[in-house]
Amino acid sequence: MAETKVQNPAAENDEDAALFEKRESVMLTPENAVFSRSEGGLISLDLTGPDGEREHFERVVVLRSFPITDPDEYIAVREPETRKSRRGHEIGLIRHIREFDEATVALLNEELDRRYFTPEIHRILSVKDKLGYYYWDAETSAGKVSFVVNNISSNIRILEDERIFIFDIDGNCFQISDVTKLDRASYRKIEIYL
Amino acid sequence: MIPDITDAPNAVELETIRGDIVFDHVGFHYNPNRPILKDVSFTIHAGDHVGLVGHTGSGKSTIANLITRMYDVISGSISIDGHNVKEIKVETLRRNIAIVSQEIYLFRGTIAENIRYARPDATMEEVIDAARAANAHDFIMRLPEGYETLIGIGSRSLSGGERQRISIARALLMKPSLLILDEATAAMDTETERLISDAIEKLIKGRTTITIAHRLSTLKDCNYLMAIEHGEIAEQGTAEELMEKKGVYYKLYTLQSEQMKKVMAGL
Ligand SMILES: Nc1ncnc2c1ncn2[C@@H]1O[C@H](COP(=O)(O)OP(=O)(O)OP(=O)(O)O)[C@@H](O)[C@H]1O
Ligand SMILES: [Mg+2]
Repeated sequence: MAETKVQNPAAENDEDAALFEKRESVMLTPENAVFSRSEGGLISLDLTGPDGEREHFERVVVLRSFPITDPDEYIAVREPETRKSRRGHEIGLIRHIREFDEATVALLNEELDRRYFTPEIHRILSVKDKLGYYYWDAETSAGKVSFVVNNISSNIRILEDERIFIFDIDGNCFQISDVTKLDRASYRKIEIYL
Repeated sequence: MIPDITDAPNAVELETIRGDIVFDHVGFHYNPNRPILKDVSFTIHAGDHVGLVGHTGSGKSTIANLITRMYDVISGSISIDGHNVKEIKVETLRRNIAIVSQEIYLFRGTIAENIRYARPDATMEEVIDAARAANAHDFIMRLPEGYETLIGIGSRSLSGGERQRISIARALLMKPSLLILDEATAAMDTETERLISDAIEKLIKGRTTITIAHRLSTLKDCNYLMAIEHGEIAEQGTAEELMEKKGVYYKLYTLQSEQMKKVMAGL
């Protein structure tokens, strides 16, 4: 990709870019944060800063800090990862979901449940590389899916217990619980990334 | 050699330490027929930021091990704030001295447990703040199990740079009065290195710090440097002074610049 021009020569990596244009993550409370359903069925956020300045985020991504033992606390709210802005920054942290009104709690929980729903990949039909974006077709426990992954080294994770997690650019997550159970053809398609 | 360190019967417990460190004619070996430190004397004042340089195997990490009493001196003595380290409770040392080292010690447990290790009473909010300052929060949150992701022994789930940032988060949470940075020899990509040096800068602020570095560029913020050679402190002074001396530091420096030139030419 020699022809790709990067504006800040030091910011060639998305993580590095994040370091350069960092935004201060704030505590999100009903006083400064209003969540709503966007037109596309996603979550929008209207944030009021300490000096009364307003910011609108058409789409935010919500993440759990402690998904197993504390799914309702320390919820991170981030800008989405897009092709243009690459890695999104964290906007803020919700200390406890229940600080918000019932409708907001339902909205956030629905999004969190969707996000933490992790289909199991049974078969990999194809993985195609186009300029650093990988287009996947796979059969999963949730049916046949197509998704796009960038930055392979940080978006394919192998955990201590050998489970493999694959994150796409929309924040969806897919898992392979036991790579040895994959058929040979599927395995061949991913082994170079492992 | 297996370390066997216990508290002296009259060991003192200190709430905090200031970080005045005196090595007085210290001699040490792991194996009697191979002396590592022969006669090492120096004084570090609380608040100093000292750089320790020397060839590989010269005994730099050993000096760190002696300060934290991983091992005891064979001859001479080491004192912290005027107390011989042998007479300070080991617990005091563990609580007040943090080492961010080449060998990052992560145990089998969650990321949160690993960060909290030195301060089990820390709240989750403090854990997250420390991880954030260490530039670790973002990659942790992207893990499916976040702060509850299991890491440990093999830690094939984390890269070297990620492991190091977890250890920096741990040190930040500990708020040590004395910090020892034992830089990794392994080269890291510039991005990771930037994230780490940014985190380390926050860690150093306001603390007595000893930096052991291979890359001399890491030492630019030190008040003064000590160069160790043949089991002794061969030189001491600012980087400029040591350059003029044309001794150990000068040799290490020129060696590194030549290597850099080769690397650059190779590109
Ligand atoms: N636990 C040990 N048992 C026996 N020998 C050891 C032990 N630890 C270190 N040594 C030896 O002592 C010498 C000094 O080691 P040390 O780790 O202090 O060097 P260093 O200056 O930190 O080197 P480097 O720059 O490579 O990190 C080396 O020759 C090393 O092999
Ligand atoms: Mg060493």
